Amino acid sequence: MSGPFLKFEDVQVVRGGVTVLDVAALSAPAGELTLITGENGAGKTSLMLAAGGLLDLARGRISLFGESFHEGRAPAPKRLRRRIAFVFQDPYLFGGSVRSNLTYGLKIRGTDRSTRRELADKMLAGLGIAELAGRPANDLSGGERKLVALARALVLEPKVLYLDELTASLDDEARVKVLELIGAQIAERGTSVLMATHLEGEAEGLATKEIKLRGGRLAEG
Amino acid sequence: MNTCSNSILFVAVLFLLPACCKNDSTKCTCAERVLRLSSTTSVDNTGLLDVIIPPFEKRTGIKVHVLAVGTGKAIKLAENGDVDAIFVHDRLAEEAFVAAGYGLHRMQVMHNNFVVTGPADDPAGARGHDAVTAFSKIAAAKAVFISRGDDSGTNKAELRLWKAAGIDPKGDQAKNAWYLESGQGQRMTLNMADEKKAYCFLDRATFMSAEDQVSSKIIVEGDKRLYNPYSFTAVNQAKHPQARYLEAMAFGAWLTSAECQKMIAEFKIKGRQLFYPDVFEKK
Amino acid sequence: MILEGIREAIRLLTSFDPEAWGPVGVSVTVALSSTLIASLLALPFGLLVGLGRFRGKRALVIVLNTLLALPTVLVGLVIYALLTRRGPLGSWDMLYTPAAMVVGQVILAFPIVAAFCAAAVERSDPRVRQTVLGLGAGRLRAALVVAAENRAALVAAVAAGFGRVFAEVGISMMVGGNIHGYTRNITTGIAFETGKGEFALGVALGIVLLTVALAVNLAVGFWQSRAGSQS
Repeated sequence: MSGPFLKFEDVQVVRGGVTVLDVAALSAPAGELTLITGENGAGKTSLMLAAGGLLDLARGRISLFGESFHEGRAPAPKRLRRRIAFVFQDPYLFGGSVRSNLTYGLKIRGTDRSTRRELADKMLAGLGIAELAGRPANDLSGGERKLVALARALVLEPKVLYLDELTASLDDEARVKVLELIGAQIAERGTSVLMATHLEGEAEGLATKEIKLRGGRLAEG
Repeated sequence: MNTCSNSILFVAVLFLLPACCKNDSTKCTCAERVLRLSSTTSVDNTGLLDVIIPPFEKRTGIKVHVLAVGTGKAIKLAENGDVDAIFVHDRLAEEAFVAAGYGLHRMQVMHNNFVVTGPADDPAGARGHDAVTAFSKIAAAKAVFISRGDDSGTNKAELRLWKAAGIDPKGDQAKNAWYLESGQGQRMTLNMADEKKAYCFLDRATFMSAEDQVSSKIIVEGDKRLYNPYSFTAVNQAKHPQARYLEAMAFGAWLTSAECQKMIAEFKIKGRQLFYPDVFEKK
Repeated sequence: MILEGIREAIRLLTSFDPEAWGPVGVSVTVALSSTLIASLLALPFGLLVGLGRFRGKRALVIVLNTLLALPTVLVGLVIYALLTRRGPLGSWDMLYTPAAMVVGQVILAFPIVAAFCAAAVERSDPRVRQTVLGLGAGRLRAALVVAAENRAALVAAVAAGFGRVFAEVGISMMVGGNIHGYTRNITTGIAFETGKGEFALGVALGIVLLTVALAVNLAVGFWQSRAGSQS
């Protein structure tokens, strides 16, 4: 069992005068899938955004792989954030083609053009949506959008993956495929995954730890 | 998008370049020499300047920038050093300007005359009298009178006549509700007076160019006190070292030259002469 | 009178009379220059204000919105006071030049472009910035992507700025001086010609002003609908 990839110390997030997150201590093991559960509004998304260095911390410190990552004002430094990839609930896709969505993150990391295309097409094939490559990204169904957003994150080969309500609104076939892919990422690449969900019994086989949230705080039991 | 913004930038730079070019008359490296002249709206409106300036520009290569602003402001600009010469029609103000050291070589170039205009039926009975008596009659009858009220040469001449008549039309608003001030140029004020069937004071040239569009008629003319001289004065470099004195004096020389004086005499609107040259009298 | 004016206007414009087209050239060049410069300054500023979270942000937005109501004669007066010989910048010799008009108009256009830009950004989908940051972009790149994704609104902001400066007369008159053939533009030309009683030329210039404004807005609208259909 490897050490934690993520550690929260005395973290508090305040938005619009309301404390949305108040966690004295939290950790998630590296190379494994940790579930963040709770009802809607419990603070799951805020936890993930904070863990990604995208929310101001009113108090506290977050470390990533033992290194100090985020304290105070967001966003955290780019260099540190680049180890993480997000898939948000109701993801936003850029206006161009599906392929261009995937290549964006690679482009800003300096990957050359042909390599970008290659990696993007490979990733889409791996998810079984190769035929969507040239389609306008905003022409897709809800489920397809989620898959594209996942592909966009995975193509960056992140060390850390944050998934917010990934499987909600996916049909069973897609759900299975997605969980398979994530399992493969963990097994083959040792990716650390945080997955937020309000669904009961989600990803049961895959998850090794569960963090329950209620009202922005850790729930007992 | 790129080519669009590039061409805009190009145009902007091209345009701004000459404007920012320094115009020091002693060591000019730009394409043109400039003379900045402040003048009165009444002269500018007649179009006389558009006739007498181009020959000067062609002959000397000096471009004349005219700021037509009204005598009071014209003189103020010269005091501030924002212009190099003035061409106005307020003798008293000009003399004060020179006496204070701001101006040099005041030269009277031309003159015309003011007239008092009013409704054809002349309710105040001002017609046939001299200017001062006419004003007294207008005040006595409380007939509506519209003044420019803008500190211009025309306005100041008008106020001098009221003073001569012993009347203060601006004081005591309630008693003098018949006296209105437009704050505008001659043409606009005449239009207003025409609308309100009121009396008005302006120079003959402006009235003549508007004559067939208004119903007002000339009520008083020919009085010596209606004499309206225009003079040119250069700004003194002792007060404003950067004033383009040489260019100004060149223009002054042009204005008082036989050739230009002839052009002034021959300047007509609707077949009528507007200005009378004063250096070379033409009879 | 208006009809006669329109007839005369068409004659002046189609015969390329320099009395009509000279001022048009001045208006267009000065307004384009000011809008360009103001936008180069105001768009980044608007982005910063719209995306930023800092103390005093609310106050800054209020100030910007107040400046939207800047009277042109006030700006003209301030610029005159700065550029007059006796003023602090008198040695620049910039008064009564088109450059002075540009300076004043930049001041006029800046709050418009900045305020519209900031409002558009603040109204925009926050997921854009979040997504881009989530993909590992830095703050500057994220701001640029937000700008690009909201480009229709930003173009509208610039167009609004242009419209305001193109039609203003206070600044042009006070610091341009309405010099025939040099700083006389459409609006000071209209004021001047109507003051002289030359209503036909005044109407002609007015027609040109409205036509240019219409053309600009048509172009913007057309571009927006094209851009809109792609995203």
